[in-house]
Order: sequence, then structure tokens, then C-alpha cells
Amino acid sequence: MDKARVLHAYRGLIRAILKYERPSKVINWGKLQKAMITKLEYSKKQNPKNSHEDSNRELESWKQLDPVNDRSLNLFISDSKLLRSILKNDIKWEEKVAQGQNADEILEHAFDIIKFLDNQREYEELVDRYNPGNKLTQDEKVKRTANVVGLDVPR
Amino acid sequence: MFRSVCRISSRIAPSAYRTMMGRPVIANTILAQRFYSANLSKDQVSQRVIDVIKAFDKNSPTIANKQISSDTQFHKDLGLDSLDTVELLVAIEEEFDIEIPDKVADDLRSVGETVDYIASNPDAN
Repeated sequence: MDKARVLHAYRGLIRAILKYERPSKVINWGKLQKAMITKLEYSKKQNPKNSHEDSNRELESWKQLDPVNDRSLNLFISDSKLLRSILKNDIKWEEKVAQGQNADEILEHAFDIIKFLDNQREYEELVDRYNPGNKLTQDEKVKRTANVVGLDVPR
Repeated sequence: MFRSVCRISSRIAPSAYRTMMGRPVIANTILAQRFYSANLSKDQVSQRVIDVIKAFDKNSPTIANKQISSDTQFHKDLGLDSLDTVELLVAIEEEFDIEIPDKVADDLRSVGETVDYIASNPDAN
């Protein structure tokens, strides 16, 4: 078992998982951003006299946050502990490297997982792109359906 | 110029918000607006690399308190094992929107080498 190959496999896995997680993290950051802005604006309205310069600046910085384009929000995978524990305890890669054991099967498996994650991500992106209605809420769907026949939903 | 303003504002953000994704993210990289062109100066690159390293909090607070310079070695000075180094390099790749080839990445052992590689990569931004 070659150490460099293990590290290549690990790097590939981290990259694939990072990309795979990205869409849901972007959504989470968007939600957090919305919640924080609401909260800060509310507390600003509650005590306008006490409004601190710091909290104004914080509000400003949350407003400027751009979860979609700011890559530096998602630099790490959420949890690499599990992956590492599998490598260390189940596969025992360090011992295998030291003893020079053959572990091509395990590495093949890792490279298969990388391919699967990448392709699954691409598939999901394509499904979303071909079915733009999937992400709409029910209200939005009703509204648009009504619009198709030239009607508006009552307010 | 703007980075320094953002950095000041980031100090006051309570740490609770930063830990949302499991690992704390250095707030100044979150909040900093990007005003740079495709050609990065070495100072910018090394500042951003250092920000990423500080955000990589696995062995915190050991990393957070350490002085990081271009001579800092990932393994020797920061105490990262080979898997940590891989994770860190992937994070740096992500920050600069590049992909470091395996052969190059295997040889990157210090902050300075990483900064040199990124500064010489025309795709980095």
C-alpha cells in the first residue's frame, strides 16, 4: 500500500464531499443570513436609542454576505472525523503502509466512491435544471398555475 | 484597504454565528468583500492562506495562537498529520478556486511553498 496513493484517494474524497455538500450549505447560509438580519433589525427597532455602532456594523456585514458567490464560506467538509476513523480503525492504513500490504481493492473502492459522488451531484444539478418547478413552494405553484390562464390568486 | 475595515468589524461578531457549519470560519474571510483582480500579489495570497490556516481549527487553539510565517511547515510547526495537510490544501484550493495537481500537492510542505505555487498559478483568484 502506497502512502501517496492513499493521500490521493483521501484528497479526492474530500474534494468530492466538499462539492457535494456545497448546495445545502449555501441554502443554510442564506437562511442564517435572513434570520440574523431580521433579528438585528428587530432589536434595532426595539431600542432605537441604544443602537450600538457595533450592531449596525454587524447588520451591514450580514447584509453584504453573499452565500452563493463567496467560496470562503465553505472551505471544509462538515465532519471529517468519521472518514478518518474509518481510515484509521477499519482500514488501518498506516499499518498497511508500514507493512507494504496490498490494498488496491480498497483504493479502487475509494476512487469509485469519488466518481459516484461527482456523478450524483451532476445528476442532481441536471434534474434541478430540467425541472425548475421542483423548488417552488406550493403557494408559488398555485399562483403560477393561475397566471397561466390569466387569473390572479385572491389576496 | 477594505479588508482592514472588514477585519475590524469581524472582531465584534460573536463566535456563536461562526460555528454554524460545524467548524468555525474566520469571520474576516466571510465578511471580506472581494476587490482584487485576477493577478494576486504575494502579500494578498499569503494573508488569505494564513486566514484559511487559522480557520482550520482542528488542533485549536494550537494553530490559532501560533505565529504563521512563510517558513512555517505544516507538519513540523503546525503539528498537522498527512491527512490534515490534505484537508488544508483542499481548503486552500477552494479558497483560490483552483485545483492543485496531486504531484504538486505532495511536495507542498510549508506555507511559503504553497503561497509561491498559488502566486505562480494564473487561474487563482
